[in-house]
Parts: sequence; C-alpha cells; structure tokens
Amino acid sequence: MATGKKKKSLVDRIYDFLCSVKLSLGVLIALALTSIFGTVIQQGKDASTYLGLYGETWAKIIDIFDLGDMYYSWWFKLLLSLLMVNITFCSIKRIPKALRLMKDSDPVYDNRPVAIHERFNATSKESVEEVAKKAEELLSSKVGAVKREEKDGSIYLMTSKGKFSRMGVYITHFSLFLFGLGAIVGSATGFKGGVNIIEGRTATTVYDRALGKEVPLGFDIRCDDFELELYAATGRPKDYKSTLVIIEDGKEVAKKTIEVNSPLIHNGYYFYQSSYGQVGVRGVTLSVAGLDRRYIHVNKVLGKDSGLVMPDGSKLVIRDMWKDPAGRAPDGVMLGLMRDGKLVTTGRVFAKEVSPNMWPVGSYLVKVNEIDWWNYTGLQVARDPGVPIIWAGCFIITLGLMISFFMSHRRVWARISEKDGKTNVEFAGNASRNRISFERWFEVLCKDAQETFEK
Amino acid sequence: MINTYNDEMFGIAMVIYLLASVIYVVYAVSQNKKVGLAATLMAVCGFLVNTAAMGVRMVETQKVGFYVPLSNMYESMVFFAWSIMLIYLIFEYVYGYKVIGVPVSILGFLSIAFVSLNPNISSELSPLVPALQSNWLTSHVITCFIGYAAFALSFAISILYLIKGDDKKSGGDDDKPPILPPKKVLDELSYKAVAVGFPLLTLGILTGAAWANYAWGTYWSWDPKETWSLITWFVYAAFLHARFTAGWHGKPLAWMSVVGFGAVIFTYWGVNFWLSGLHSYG
Ligand code: HEM
Repeated sequence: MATGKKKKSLVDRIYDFLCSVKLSLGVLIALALTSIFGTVIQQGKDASTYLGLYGETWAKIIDIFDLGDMYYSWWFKLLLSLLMVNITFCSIKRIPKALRLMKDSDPVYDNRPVAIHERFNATSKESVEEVAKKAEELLSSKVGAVKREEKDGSIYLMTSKGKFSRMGVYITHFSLFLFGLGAIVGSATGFKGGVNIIEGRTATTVYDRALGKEVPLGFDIRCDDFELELYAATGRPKDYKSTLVIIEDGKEVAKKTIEVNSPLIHNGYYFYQSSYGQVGVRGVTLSVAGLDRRYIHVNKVLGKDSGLVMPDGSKLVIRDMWKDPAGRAPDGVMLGLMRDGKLVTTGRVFAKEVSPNMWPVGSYLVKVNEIDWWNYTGLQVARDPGVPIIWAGCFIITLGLMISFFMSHRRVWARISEKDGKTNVEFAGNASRNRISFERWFEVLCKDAQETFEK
Repeated sequence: MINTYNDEMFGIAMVIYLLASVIYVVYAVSQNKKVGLAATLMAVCGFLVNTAAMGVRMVETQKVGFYVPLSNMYESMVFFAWSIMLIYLIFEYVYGYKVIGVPVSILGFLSIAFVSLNPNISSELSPLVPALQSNWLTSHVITCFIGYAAFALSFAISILYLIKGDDKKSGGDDDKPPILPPKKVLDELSYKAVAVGFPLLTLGILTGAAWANYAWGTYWSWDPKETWSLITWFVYAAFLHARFTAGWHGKPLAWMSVVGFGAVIFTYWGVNFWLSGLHSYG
C-alpha cells in the first residue's frame, strides 16, 4: 500500500497536524507572543479609556481583537484549547509506542543501530556459560532483572532500569490537561467578589464581580473586631486582622480571626483579608487650652455623641471628620461649640503631626492627640471548585517533570560468545536521555565488569 | 538609615567574582591546571562570602522585625548572584569545563554590581508588608531565582556556543586543546541547564499561584509579572520540544536559549520598570 501512504485522506492529515510537535511549537510561540499584548495594554478598562490612551485606530484594533480583555477573548481561549487538543492527540498517538519501549521486549543485541551509546568488550578464559552466569549476577545486582536468550551458541542478556521514566512526559502533559479543566470548572461555577464590613456590623450580601451587583450568600458575616499593627520603625502596616463570625439562621456557626494569607472558609467560600479603611470617628483624644495657652483639659476622650463641657458652659462636640485614603493629606476633625443646644462656632483641627499643633475653636485652642476611627475591614470573597483540580495538576506536573528530567530509561545489553577458543563478553548500553550522566554510570559498570571478568 | 554590615560583605563578594572571572580567562587561555584550580577556589570563595553576607543580612533584619531577605530588588539580585554561582559550581563539579566560569562569574559580578553601585536601588532593610509575610512567597522566590540562574547558565553556555567556530575535524594538528569545549558538549550542557531551570521555574510559578490563592483568593490573575513568567515558561517549553521532538540542535537552539533569557530578564526587571502590577516591590 505504498500509494495509500502518500495520499492521505483529509481527516488523516488533520489528525496528523493535530498530533504534530510543529503545531505545539507554533502554539507555544503564539501564546508567548500574544500574551505580551495584555501586559502592555492595561486590561479591563472601558473603550473610552483606550480611545484616550491610544487614539482612534488603535482603540478600534483593541476593540476588534478584544485586547482590553485578551486573556478571556475567544481567540486566546482557542489557542489554549488548541494546546490541549494537541497534547491529547499527541499522547494518544505516542503512548502505545512508549509502552512498547517500556516492555524491553527485545533482549537480543545484534549490533543493530539502536542508538547504542557505549560499549564494553573483554575476553575471559572461562566457558561461555560461566561467564554468562557472572555477567547475569553483575547486571542483576547493579541494574535490574535480567532477560536471557540463546541464539547461535551465544548468550544474550538484557536488563534495564527506570522504565517508568518513559511515562514522565505523559504525566507532565496530563497535568496541563488538569490545569485547563480546573480553570474551566472555576470559571463556570466559581464566585469572585468582595465586601466591606464596619466593625461590629453584619453584612447580609456581598458584591458579585461577575454580575456587578450585591448578592446574598445564604449566610451573614459579622465583623467583631479589626486590628491594625504597625511597624514601630516605619509606621507601615505590619499585620491586619479581623475577627469574623458567620451567622446562619440566626446562629453563630463559625468564628475565626483572619489575617492576610490566612482566610476563613465557610461553605466553600473563602474570606480573605485584603484591605481596610476608616469610615468615621469613634472618638477623639484631645487637650484644650484657653487663649492664654493654659490647659483646661488634658488628654480627654471625646466620643462621637458626647460633649466636653468648657469653663464657660459651652460644649465641645465632633461635627465632622476627614481622611485622605491615600494618606497624603493629614487627618482631621471639625469641632463645634454648642451652647443651649445651638451651634455657636466651628473649627478645623488636624491630627497631631501637623503644626501648629493647637488650633482655634472659638475662644479655645485645641490639640488633637489621637483620632479613634471606625474601621472597616475589606474582604475578598471567593469560591472556586476548580482549585482542587489545579492543586492536583500542581502535584502531578511536579512529579512528571522530576521523572522526565531526572530519570531515564537505561538499557544494557550483553552478548557472551565464543571466539577463537576464548569467551568474549560485550556490553552495550543506551539511555533515553541524560547522556552524559549515563556515560559516567556505564563507565562504573564497565569497571565492575572488568574486575569480574579479569579475575 | 540603619547601619548594616552585609552591604560591605556583598561588595567583597562582588570584587572576588570579578577576580575569579579574570583568573578563569587566564585559565582558558593558558589551560594551566593550577590556574584552573585557583579560579575555582576564587569562585568558591566569592560564593562563600556571598552566602555569609546573606546570612548576616538575615540576622540584621531583626533590627526592623525579622524577615527572610528576599523581598526587594537588592535582596533578590544578590540572591541571583548566589544562585548562578551555586548552579555553575555544581555543573563544574559534575562536568568540568571551567571555561564556562568566565561568563558566569562575570554575571555574578554584574548582578551584585548592578544593585550595589546603583544609587537608585536601596540596600536598606525594609520590613515586609503583610501580603509578603508568607512561606509560599519565600519558596516562590527561591525556586524562581534558582530557575532564572539555571537559565542564565544556559544563556552563558549558548553565548560560548555562538562565538565558537566550528569544531576541528578529528584530532587536528594543534598540540594544545581548544580553549572552548567541543560544540556538542556546549549544546548538551546548555540543554542540561534548561532541564534544571524548567522544573524550578514551574515550581516557582506554582508556588506563586499558591501564594496568590492564599493572599487574594485567585491563583491566577494575569498580572504582568505572572504573564511574563508564563511567557518565559512557554519559551522554554518550546525550547525543550524543539530539541526533543523536532530535533533542533546547535545554533537555532542556542538562539532560543538567548531569547529565553531575554524573557527572564524582562520578567525580572522589565516588568518592574516598564509595567505596573501586583509585584511592584521587586
Ligand atoms: C506548555 C506546554 C507543554 C509543556 C510544559 C510540556 C512539557 C514537556 C516536557 C517537560 C517534556 C520532556 C522534555 C524533555 O524530554 O526534555 C515534553 C516532551 C514532549 N512533549 Fe511536551 N509539553 C507541552 C506541550 C506539548 C504539546 C502541546 C505537545 C503536542 C504535540 C507536546 C508533545 C511532546 C512530545 C512529543 C514530547 C517528547 C516525548 C518523548 O520524549 O518521547 N508537548 N513536554
């Protein structure tokens, strides 16, 4: 059927193409190159942003090819799918051959061109049978189980080690399949969102990023406490923690103090500590002096709904607060003086670092030592049933790579034959990979053989 | 600024690497065994000083609240120098071929010089923001950087491959052995280095994903650093397949290693300097 081979049907040609390593090289390089776009063009902005940034022509190109959200675009997904199909077909095609090689079915070494890497040759005065026995012992102790065959008066031995390494590549490729599957499961059934909860309050819904609206999760989340720890040296955040309580049907069913890198898990939902902020003043610690700078009150705590009575009978109260979330402008509060339930005057007071540190409010000077804010905790909420599949993929790819790179299928053949009244021993070996280390290993084996046969 | 001793020690390591590269050059030209030994000893010495400096820095972090010093450009670069010397010295021990020590110790020198002589890069100890306080992160950085170092070694070997003329056919009449190892050996060693780097980069990407999953609830978010590490990964996957299944060898593959290392450099620095994202710290 020589002609049949030349003229392949279209289906066969497509199949061959889908199996080919040429396709995988093409797809890998295409993935590498196209991925660059998404790192240069900011992702997830709207059309007008791109128009402003890149001008009309480019904005149009970005729109057509979905470059603003390219990792989720149809063509990028197509490339990823092509890689999966390629791997699947390629494995199906190659696994039978790999299994055959694993069997070491052919012990007879006949100087065939089987990519023999290394050879060894020695002669001995002992009989063929005796030498074969010694060789068999040596090979089974140094390599593995030995197969034996006799042909034309010669004895052939064969042994191998690390057969399983031939499966390494397939294990590796299979893991990629798991990554694909995990990602699909995750995007089909997962949830990504977030919620901010003020200390002491309960959230009954969270924001669903995919739907763009608030949704209930089937349980409520209360934040009992939020704590921020700062580095003494730099004043930057060292750690932040929230104590969360899950409430289901009015009952507390779970409680955990979460921090960054340590989430709370409930019903498959993960609650991650991701941010924090302040939303209002709980109270202010302040000192008040008269215009003569003599202190009237020192380090008094003024609550949001309380007041501090001044010598003239008026009451100092908190009216308002401000805070720049970026931390560039100083924090401050607006204070007011009330008399007989009416506001007499107001004054802005900045927190302690700003000079002058005493600010006028009516006929008093006020220094704010500390502002005690209401904190809110910012939580990321995620549920991703694909994650266990991804974990399995991680485990399997690690295993697969270790096997495919650091193990090899090493085969050693031996022929013991009679030649000019003497017994001739030949060894030959080959390895599926790692030639240099195989050579060293074979050298050691040959040294052992030398000693065995020369005794 | 907090007084530290590790900067000076890194400076010493840098100078030793420079000296080592000079001795390796002398060795390459003279092929004198004693010079070769001196070169290796010098490189080992630099490596030990580098190691000690990292240890001292780790102890010194206690001044600001203990952390594993792998969190900013300075710390990662001195660790990169350490990694490439480590991988190279193992290769030298296993395979010989000391000429490779020339480009490698130059790379070791350059990576320390780049951060310690650059006024824009601070060697100050800076404690970690909460998201970075994770064992996953430490494993992530270590695996990525040793992987990068292995790719750098492959790059160095590929450069030697590309500048070497054709091998002399059988024996030749030179009484001196050629300065550079045979091309076949360079080709094989360059692959070897990739075979070490690829699993490490893979582990690096996986531990990074694990960390992201614990810190943000998303194992993959296509941020530029992540994407670039994936690009690098694709390039080296292509390298391996080109070699193993498409049968590429020699020049095209050496160029592919060069391109791959370009991707490594971009993942490492380019992203920090040109693009923005979650990894802006280093
Ligand atoms: C990112 C994707 C891929 C990764 C990480 C990957 C990984 C690997 C690794 C680590 C090896 C062993 C390399 C070596 O022997 O040095 C390998 C070999 C191989 N890969 Fe892939 N691979 C990928 C995609 C593909 C695809 C799409 C195909 C489709 C045809 C493919 C076909 C092969 C073949 C035929 C071999 C050689 C098998 C052998 O040595 O017998 N790979 N792959």
